Amino acid sequence: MISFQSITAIAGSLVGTASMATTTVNAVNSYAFTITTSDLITSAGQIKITFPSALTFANQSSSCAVITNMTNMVSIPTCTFSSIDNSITFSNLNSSTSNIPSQTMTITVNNIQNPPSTATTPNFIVSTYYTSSLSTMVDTGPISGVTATVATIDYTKVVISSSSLITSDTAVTYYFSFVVANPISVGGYIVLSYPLNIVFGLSTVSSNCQIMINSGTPLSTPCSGSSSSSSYIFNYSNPLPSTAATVGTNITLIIANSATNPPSTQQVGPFSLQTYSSDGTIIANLLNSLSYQVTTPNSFTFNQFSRLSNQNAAITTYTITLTQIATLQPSDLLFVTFPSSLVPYSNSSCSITYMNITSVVTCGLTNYTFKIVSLSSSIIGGNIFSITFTNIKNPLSYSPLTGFLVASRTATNAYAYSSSTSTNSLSDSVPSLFKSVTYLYSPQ
Amino acid sequence: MIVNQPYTIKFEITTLDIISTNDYFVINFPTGTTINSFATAALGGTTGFNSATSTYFNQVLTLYMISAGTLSPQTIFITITNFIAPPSTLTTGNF
Repeated sequence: MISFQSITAIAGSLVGTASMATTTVNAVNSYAFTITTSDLITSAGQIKITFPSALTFANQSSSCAVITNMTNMVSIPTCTFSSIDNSITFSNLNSSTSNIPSQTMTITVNNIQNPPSTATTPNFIVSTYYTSSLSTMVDTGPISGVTATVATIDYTKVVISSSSLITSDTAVTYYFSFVVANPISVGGYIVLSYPLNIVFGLSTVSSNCQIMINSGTPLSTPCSGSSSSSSYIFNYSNPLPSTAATVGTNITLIIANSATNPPSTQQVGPFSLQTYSSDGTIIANLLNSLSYQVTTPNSFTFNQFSRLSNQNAAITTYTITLTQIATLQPSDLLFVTFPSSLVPYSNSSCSITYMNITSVVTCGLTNYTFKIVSLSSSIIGGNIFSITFTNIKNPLSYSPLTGFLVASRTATNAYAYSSSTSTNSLSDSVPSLFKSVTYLYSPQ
Repeated sequence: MIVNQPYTIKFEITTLDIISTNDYFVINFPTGTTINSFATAALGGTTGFNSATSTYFNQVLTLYMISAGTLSPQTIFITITNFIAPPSTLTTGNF
C-alpha cells in the first residue's frame, strides 16, 4: 500500500531595527537595517524588505545597498525594486556556494526618501528566502516604522507684505508668502502666527482669509483666528481642498482688510509658520523668525494753533493742540520744528497738557527744533493733547507762518510714530512798536 | 510548524488490507525534510516498532514491527520524534 502527503511549514521569525541617517521629512538619505535571522538560507537565497508606502525610492540602483557585519555574504548585493509592494529584494548574497547562516547583519540602503510628514510610518516587513524563489520564505518579521522630524522652512523663501506701510493704518491687508519645499497634501493645513503689534479684528478675520497659489487669483479659504499672550494664531484649515502643494509652489496666505499696522516704524515680530498634513502631523515650520516693518509715519491731526500775542516780534507763548493715533509712552520723544520766521530761545520752556493736566516737560532746542523728552505720562492714542512753548519770538512782519513740523518717535529716537507738517492760519496783526521815537523840531 | 524546528510528526494511515507484523513500513521523506538522529517511532495500539531494526538512511525511514501476528484493516498512527521541519515555507514534495 502507498500513500502520499506533503506538508508546509510556516516562516520563522526575525527581528531588527531601522534607522535613518537624516531624519528630516522628505530628506533623501540612507536607512540602516540591523537584522537578526533565525535560519540559514542557501547561497542563492534572498532578503526582501517591504517598505511602508510613505517611503519612496529616490534612485533605484541595482547596487543600492551595502551589507556589513555579515558572515558568508557579499558586501554589495543586487537590488531589485518592486513598485507593487514597495519593496527591495536583495539577491546574489553570496559569491560562493556556501549557505548563509543565521546571523545579525546590517543592510544600509541608500537613496530612501523619508516620509512626507512626522507621522510614524507603519512597520517594515523583512523576509528571507531559501532560494531565488520568493515562494521559499524562511524567516519573516516586522521592523518598527520610523518617525521623521519636522523640516525647517527656509526663511529666505518667505515674504511678508501689506497693502499699507503707514504706521497705525487700519483695514490693512497682510500677505504672507512662502515657497513650499516639503509638499502639503490635499487636506493639509497651515498655521500662521503674527506678533501682537499688528492688531487684527478677530471677529471678522474668518471671513477675510484668502489663499493665492503661485500667481493665481486669491480665493477665499476657511480660517480661524485666536490670540495668546504673545501672538495672533491663524489656522488656515483647508487651504488645499483639491490640489496638493508640490515643491516649488508659492503659497500666499492673505488676511484682507483686517489689520491695523504697528504703531511705529520699528520692526515687529516674530512670525511663525507651520504646515501640517491632513492627519494632523506637522511637516515643516519656521518658528519665531522674521520681522516686518512699516516705513511711513502716520500723520497727526492738528486741532488748533494758538499764541498769546499776534504782535510782530513779540516774545510770546505758542500752543499746538493735536492728536495722534498711536499711544505715546512716557519715554517717547516729541520733536517740534518751528517755522524759520519765528525765533525760539534756549530758555524757552515746554509743557504738555493732557486730560486737563498741564505738566512742564524737559525739552532742548537745536536750531528751530525742540526735542521733548520724558513725557509726564502716557498719551493714549486718539486723545487730544497740547504742547506749549514759551519765549518764542513772533515774526517781524505780517507774513503768514509756514508750517510746523511735528514728529513723534520711540525712546531711542530710532523709529517714528507720526510725522507731519501743519498748516495754520496764524499771522501777525499788530505792528511792533518802535523802541524809541525822536522828534527833531526845527522852527521855521 | 516553523521552518527548521524539531517536531514530532504523526502519520495517520488507514490500511485497506490485513497486514502481517512481518511486513514493514517505508516512509520516504521529501527533500528538505529530515529526521534528526532518529530515535523512536510509535505505532498506535499495542503493536510497537522495533527500534533496533528500524533504519533511517537517505531520507528513507524503514520501520519494522515487533510481535507476531496480523493487523486487520484499520487506522494506524505512526508517531516519529525528532522530525525537522522543512527549511522554507515552500510546500514539500510528498511523503
